[in-house]
Amino acid sequence: MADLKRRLRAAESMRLPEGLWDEVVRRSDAASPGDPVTHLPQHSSGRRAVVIVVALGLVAASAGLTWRAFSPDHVQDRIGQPEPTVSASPNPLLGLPGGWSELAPPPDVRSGAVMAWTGSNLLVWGGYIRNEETGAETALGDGYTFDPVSGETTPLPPSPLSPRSFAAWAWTGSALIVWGGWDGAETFFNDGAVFEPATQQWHPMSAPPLAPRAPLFAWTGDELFVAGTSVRVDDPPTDGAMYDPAEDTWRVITPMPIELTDATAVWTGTEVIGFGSALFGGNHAATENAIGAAYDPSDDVWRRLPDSALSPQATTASWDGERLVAWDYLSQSQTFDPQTDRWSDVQRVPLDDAECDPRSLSVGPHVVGDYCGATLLRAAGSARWLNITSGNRYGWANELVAADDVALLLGRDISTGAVRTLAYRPSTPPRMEGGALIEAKVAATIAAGEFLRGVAVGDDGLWATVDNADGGPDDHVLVRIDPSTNEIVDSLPLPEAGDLAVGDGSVWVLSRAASDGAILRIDPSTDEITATIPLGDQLSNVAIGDGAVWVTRATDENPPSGEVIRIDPTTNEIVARIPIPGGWPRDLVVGEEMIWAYGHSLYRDNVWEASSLWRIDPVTNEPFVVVDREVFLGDGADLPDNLAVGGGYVWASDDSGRGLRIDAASGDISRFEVEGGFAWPFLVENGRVWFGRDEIRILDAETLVVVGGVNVETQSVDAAFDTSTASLWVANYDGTLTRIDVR
Amino acid sequence: MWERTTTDETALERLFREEAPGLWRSLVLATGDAHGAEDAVAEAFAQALRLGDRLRDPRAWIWRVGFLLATRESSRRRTLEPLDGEIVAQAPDDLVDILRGLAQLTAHQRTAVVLADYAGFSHREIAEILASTVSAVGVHVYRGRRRLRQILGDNDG
Repeated sequence: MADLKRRLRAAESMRLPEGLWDEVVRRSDAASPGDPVTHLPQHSSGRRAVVIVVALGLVAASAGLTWRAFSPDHVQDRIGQPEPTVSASPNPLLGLPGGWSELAPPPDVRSGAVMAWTGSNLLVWGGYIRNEETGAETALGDGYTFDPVSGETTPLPPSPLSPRSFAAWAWTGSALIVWGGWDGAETFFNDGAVFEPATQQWHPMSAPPLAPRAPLFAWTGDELFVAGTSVRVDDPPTDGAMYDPAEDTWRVITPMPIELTDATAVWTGTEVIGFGSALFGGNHAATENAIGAAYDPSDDVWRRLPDSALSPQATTASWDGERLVAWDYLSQSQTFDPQTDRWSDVQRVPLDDAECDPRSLSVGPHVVGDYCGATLLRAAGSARWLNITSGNRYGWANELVAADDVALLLGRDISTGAVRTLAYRPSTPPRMEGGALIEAKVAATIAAGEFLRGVAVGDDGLWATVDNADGGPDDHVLVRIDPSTNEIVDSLPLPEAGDLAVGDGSVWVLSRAASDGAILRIDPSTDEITATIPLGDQLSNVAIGDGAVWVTRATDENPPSGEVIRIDPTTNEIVARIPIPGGWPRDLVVGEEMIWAYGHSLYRDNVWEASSLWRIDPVTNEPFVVVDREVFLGDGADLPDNLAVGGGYVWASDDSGRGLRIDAASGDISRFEVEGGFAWPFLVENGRVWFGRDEIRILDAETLVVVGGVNVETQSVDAAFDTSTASLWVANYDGTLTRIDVR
Repeated sequence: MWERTTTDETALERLFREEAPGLWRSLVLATGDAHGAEDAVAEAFAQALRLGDRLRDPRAWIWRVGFLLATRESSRRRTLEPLDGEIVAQAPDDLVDILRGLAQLTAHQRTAVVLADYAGFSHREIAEILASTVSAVGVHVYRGRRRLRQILGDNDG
């Protein structure tokens, strides 16, 4: 890749024509005010994201309409999400579409402030706004309520608390608790007050048994947990207490077993987990990695978590309903399962390197993060982070707030002072009409290399071919993954590693021998290459079935022609080369008693214009064109090159996102739309067919009704289904493998 | 009636100096048509100048419109314009090789590879420019790179 970029730099020798700016001004001056301006097309995203609907939303809200966006199934899409906070006033965020929306600008954007979503508006109190000229971070002592849809702002009545930031706070459902905090200079506080919006009254809290501090805190639903510190001090406290707002009482708790100065606290439903590190002068960390401890308020006991593999320099953590989701400023992420007391493998967070503090919060079962203006999403059921950043907000002061099932992002451009409110609503898989949703959950994501070429399931694990494109000895490797641990347990360098298949006791990999294309037969128990069968160049795909190994190959490009090669695995000999005149076969599958191959078939004026589907009878080795050219639109070469077979049908798709179902016996074709675009059939199992690319959709093979899905962004190269674990493995273009467990 | 301000023009001219060379070169790489690229750049900036401060992100808008105008024209012809003779005559051999290699990719692949590997955009940014999806961009970038590496590798012998 680096070499390709370097070669493209040759374009720098081209000089922009002289006088082009003058031409710009001339055209602009010559245009009349009524002349049309180029209108940009809407995004074709299948995630119902991006489209800015502020105007519609505001009109609907102001007219008192309950607004439903996009599909009538929108309400059903939200089933499974936590119920919104009960509130006497309507929730103005109801009806926001999935994805990003721009809302009304806030009156200001404060850091270290109390920002509580009440179910109908945002309660903001305290915090600070940095003076970019002087660097002063003077604490504030006032607040307001803010409706992010209408923009309506109402000042809060004065509180009995002095100006402060980084106070502990909680919204109980009817009242806001504010305790402790820091004035940004030398003074910490240990007083607090409770604000009741219904009465617009502040009530001082009873005296705590704790020294002044800006603490770690979490709301358990009944009590406010405060302990330690969330601001760096030389001698960090470890004591803590729980506050009961119903009784206005405190109880001292067992001290923390670890020191933390830069940490997050989350409530899991049974424990408070504090996670982070203790940093002292010069960012010196007391531990090699980020650490944590969990507190059980029912037993008043702490337990130390096993150390994570994350950096102690800066971390953030959230609770997704089952696991602690943590990431550090080196863009590494891990999850912690309190049930097993284990950390997951480290995975990469899709961020550019930068110097910021990562922040995250839970939005229902999803986790949304912010880092240097980039926004990240770890969707419910997903094992990977997605960068969902909207717009360039690098250098902005951004604050994240969880507002039921929406993440609010309040941002301030520190160079101009401009403020914005953005809302992001994570989407969920669709629901089957009249039935239960098939549950399919992302169980693991494994980084395997630069490019993945193929994936196949064998008796002893999952195999994948990897192209690392680095020119080194491990440029091409065959890897084996143990599904019991989801770890790569074996790696075999090969001359080249293309598509692969598993069968007849071997792993078969399309590769090279000397300067020619070949298929390698590998004994999985010894990693020994037991046979190298030269086949010729331009090999594409391999499949096993009907007593043979089948390989597709292009023999010429213009006009296209190719062949399907048949190999006898008992002798390792080529027994037939089946010509495909006028076609360049690519993917192939074996099923329904036939061999099915799909590929390009019309090349004209330097452009592929169509593709075809061929069927080969393994008894006669005769090819037969099943679908010839007219079905596939576009230029042909951009068609997803994947087939699936099963349930009496062969499945394919075209570049516009339409699915194709071909009756294996009659050749009848059914065309259908698959939501999400770029429908690409992975697999057929149990009367269902899986399509995917942006999101995975599972369809009933007969009715073509969506019966389930997985909200995971895959960029799939290949996929394989492991029936022993009921897991779909997807090889992605970014070099990762995603495991999806079907339940 | 909208009036263009001096501030608008100054800011946009600054943006032109920063972005126009890269945008034009990207369009030439993506279409093989230097004159068409020139026309698209001029028109995109002219329209931006007319819109003034109604554009929240002029840079992103100009890239999107530039590619929209240039590729719309290119797709009307269905095939790639024969390489501009003036470019071929004046360009170093390695640039000609690149242009000829890119010409053998599909339009989607060519555009995606140019935006990723020459202009340096992320897949998400490319999806914004082309009004496509991130995963579709990933497909095109992957296949385009693979094909281009094969072509350039073959030409290198």
